[in-house]
Amino acid sequence: MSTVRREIVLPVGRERAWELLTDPAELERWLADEVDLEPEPGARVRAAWSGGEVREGVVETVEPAERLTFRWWDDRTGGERRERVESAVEWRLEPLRRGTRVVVVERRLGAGPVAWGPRLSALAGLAVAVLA
Amino acid sequence: MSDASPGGDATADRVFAALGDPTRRELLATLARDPGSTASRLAAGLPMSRQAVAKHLGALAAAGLVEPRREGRETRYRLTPEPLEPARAWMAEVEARWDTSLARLAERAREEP
Repeated sequence: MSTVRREIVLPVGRERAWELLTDPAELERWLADEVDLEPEPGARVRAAWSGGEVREGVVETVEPAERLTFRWWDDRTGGERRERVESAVEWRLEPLRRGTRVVVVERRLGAGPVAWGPRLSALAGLAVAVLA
Repeated sequence: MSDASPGGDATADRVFAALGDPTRRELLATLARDPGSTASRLAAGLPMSRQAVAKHLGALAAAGLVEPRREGRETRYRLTPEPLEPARAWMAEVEARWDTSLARLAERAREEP
């Protein structure tokens, strides 16, 4: 696995933040151009972008107004499970004095855990230099 | 976007697996500074035996991240970072996707519901 972590502070309360994360009409304004996502464990996830990319997945855990997790994968391979690259995504809400922080963590599934720090990123940069 | 070759994603998985150990990451960093080190020299800088280091080097070689070369009775290792590229590309792609999405989320949050 490799992990990407991103966060942003929204100038709204926790309930509104949760709505932005779970209402399909809202999701289609920021996550992707077409989104099917119901905040129910086991519910199907589908996100499509106008560039042609499509991701399918499944909701895993739902803690209302706190946390949502799902797995998703790139559907370009036509659904062959062993070929697809699958990730686990977590959305977490953290209430602040003013506003709500949204923390996103996406972990690639299928291998051991890796934390990418600056040194490893520098090593990866070597690859770019070598390939240039 | 990612490798066109069928093994592309499996290769990236092997790379992630090889990188999932802090000792192996340390070995890669050391080899980046001191190319052509032997397992003995690498072990001297770590709290473990030469055999343990050789096992880690084996995992890195299997992922294509180091290349062993025999010189007489010694085996020297050099970093071959090319397999890091798909892994790095995946990270960069995912980061970019979330940066774009979260910026749009923040913009939407600033509007009236």
